[in-house]
Amino acid sequence: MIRAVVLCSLGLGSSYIIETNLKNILNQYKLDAQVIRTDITSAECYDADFYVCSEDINFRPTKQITLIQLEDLLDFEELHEKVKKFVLEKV
Amino acid sequence: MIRDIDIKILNRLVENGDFIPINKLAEEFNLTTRKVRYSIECINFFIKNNGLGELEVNRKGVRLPQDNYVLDCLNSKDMIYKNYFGFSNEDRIILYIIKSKYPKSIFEIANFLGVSRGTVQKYLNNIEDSYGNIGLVRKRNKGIYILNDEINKRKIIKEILDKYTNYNIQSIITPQNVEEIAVSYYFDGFNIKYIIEKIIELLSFQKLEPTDISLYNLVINILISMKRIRQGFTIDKSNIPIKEKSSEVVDVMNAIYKKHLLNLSDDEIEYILPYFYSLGNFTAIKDEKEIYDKELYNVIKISVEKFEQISKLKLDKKEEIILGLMTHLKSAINRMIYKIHIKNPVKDDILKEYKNIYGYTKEACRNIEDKYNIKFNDDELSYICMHFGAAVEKSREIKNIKKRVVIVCSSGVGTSKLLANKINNIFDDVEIVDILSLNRFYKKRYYDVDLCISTINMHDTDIPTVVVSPLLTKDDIDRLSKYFNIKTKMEYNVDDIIEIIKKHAEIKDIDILRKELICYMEGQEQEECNKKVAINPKCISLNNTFENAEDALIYSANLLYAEGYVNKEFIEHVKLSLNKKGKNGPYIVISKGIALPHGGVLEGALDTGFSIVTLKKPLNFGHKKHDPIKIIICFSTKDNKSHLETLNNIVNLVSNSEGYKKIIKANSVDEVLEMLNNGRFV
Repeated sequence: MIRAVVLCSLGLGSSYIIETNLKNILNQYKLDAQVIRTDITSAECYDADFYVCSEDINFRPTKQITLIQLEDLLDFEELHEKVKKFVLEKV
Repeated sequence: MIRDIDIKILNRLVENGDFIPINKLAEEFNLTTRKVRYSIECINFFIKNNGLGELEVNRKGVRLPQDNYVLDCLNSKDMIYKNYFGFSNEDRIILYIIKSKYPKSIFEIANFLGVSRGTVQKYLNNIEDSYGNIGLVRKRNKGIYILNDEINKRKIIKEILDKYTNYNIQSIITPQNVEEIAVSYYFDGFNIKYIIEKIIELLSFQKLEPTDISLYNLVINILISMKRIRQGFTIDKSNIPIKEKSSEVVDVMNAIYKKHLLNLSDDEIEYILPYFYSLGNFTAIKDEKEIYDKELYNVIKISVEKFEQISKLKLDKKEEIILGLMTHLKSAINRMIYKIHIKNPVKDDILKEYKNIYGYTKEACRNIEDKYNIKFNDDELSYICMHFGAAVEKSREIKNIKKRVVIVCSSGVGTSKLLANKINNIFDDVEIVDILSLNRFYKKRYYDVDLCISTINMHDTDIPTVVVSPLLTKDDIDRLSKYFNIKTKMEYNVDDIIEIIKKHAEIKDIDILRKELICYMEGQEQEECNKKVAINPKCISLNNTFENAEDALIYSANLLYAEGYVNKEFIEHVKLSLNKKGKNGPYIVISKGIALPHGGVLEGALDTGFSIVTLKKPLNFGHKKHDPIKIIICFSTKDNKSHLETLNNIVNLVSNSEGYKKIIKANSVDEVLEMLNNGRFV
């Protein structure tokens, strides 16, 4: 199972947009995945295979984690490209 | 002479046993210090005269020396006994005139109490006021006496004594305060212990376990009977016919009276017997007893079932209740048959506090009344009500033992609060002790809780932990239901409720009301009902021109503020969000030409709402890649879910390049709403 954490400053807006798109992508690959949406302060409390967030969010993880940063949150293709790389490695 | 206030002060000194400052006494009894000093003189005079030593008075205050010794002395002094010391002056008057064969003059009474004749008149008025019709006669030339038959006189005495004993048999055997000493001294010369031992011996032989109150009733009545015989009064013919005289009981009574050198007449036996019978059935034949018990058991069982049926309450441990009631009712039924009236000291409280249960009890007892051809009075019913009340409380208590739970989540705010509310709504026996972030949970380490519910995987903790999704899925609920009871849903009829509302208020939209009521009752979250937050047309503003990004942002937040979705803090928050920059620029710029300022309750949101602002003149927000901005979508959310559906709609619209173009070009609010609602924008 793949576990992904999407985060934004409050865990309300941007992260939700990423979450919806990410879920669509993971569904495309028919992967058993769990997507957790959260805010920046609590993101590191979750164990996950990778994290997704905007480039403009000052998320500096203390742990060594895979971080996917997005330039354009609404750009489905950008997310797709970046996630694909990671997901295909995993699969 | 000793007065009521002196007795009170003496009582206080006995109770305290140490020095009490005089001014404190004065304050306590609402007297001047001078009066207290006078009172101390009176007490001193009284106890000195009775060889009880002297009060110690010094700078520290007043003290009664060696209180145990004095207590014992107070216990044994003939003088006190004769004067009914410890009773209130009114009661002393009644006891004084009730023992006399002749009317007493005011002068005699005044002498007895050590007060003036005017004061006696005052006391007599008080008696008439507070005791009601006890047959007090005040005749100018004849004197004062109580005109009543012997049975009623004994009842009056019992009523007085009950006030001092609190219906507690222990208080006469081992008196603890002056009031109880007063009663035990009223019965000076009788071997109370012997009497009780004799009775208990008989009861255990008969295998009866009477309630305390009925045993008290029996003992106090025997004592009063003996006292009256000693004072030279005998009972008139008892008016309740006794079916059979149990020879064992008569033997015990003979022994008791003989021991005290008193003559026991047949009438006296008939007077006392019902009190014995009110403890239970004295019969030599074993089978009869069993039949009686069985019958009573069945009758009570029906009553208990009826109680459940009427009250719609479920009682746990019914067997226990039935057996408890059986012990009580064995006496109570006999009391009713022999017309023995006992007072329930807490009757009024029960009628007040357990009004409903009292009503159910009354109804449920009907079949017992019919079966034994009796009618319970309020006092008896309130006793039975106590049994039912206790059973109801107990049943409640069992359910109320809540399991202590601590909720742990990543941040300790937001999601966990929602989770906590949800758990509280779904489960009955949960007490949420604390909501903590993981860090704080680990720091605190030691916790007195039964279970930890966490949204995060936790390592090395001794507390049993259930990991759930913050949104609490059905699967989570199933897992948690192993630990807790799911709340039983009340069964209400929505239409009935609507009828009631109709009576008192005007209903705007009956369908929505019904829908919301159903949602509420089925414990669904409100957002399930109105999943999609409609976009307020007043919050859509098209083709605006602003000087700079800040003005535009403030404007978008102001739209929400004007409609009451947010408070002023929110506007400030949105304004400041422009400064929170990342690698490329403000984080609120999420895509080409789009800014998405938003906030939750912590940022000042009051409700969930959206505003859409399009800019005629695109503005630079200071973003390296996505400038200039053409659309500002601002939203507030009261939780972390209610906005999602609508946000999804908007995002779907603007992330599509056709939709994005169309919304920028849109000229009317309706156009935008149409696009959002129908998804037709291509």
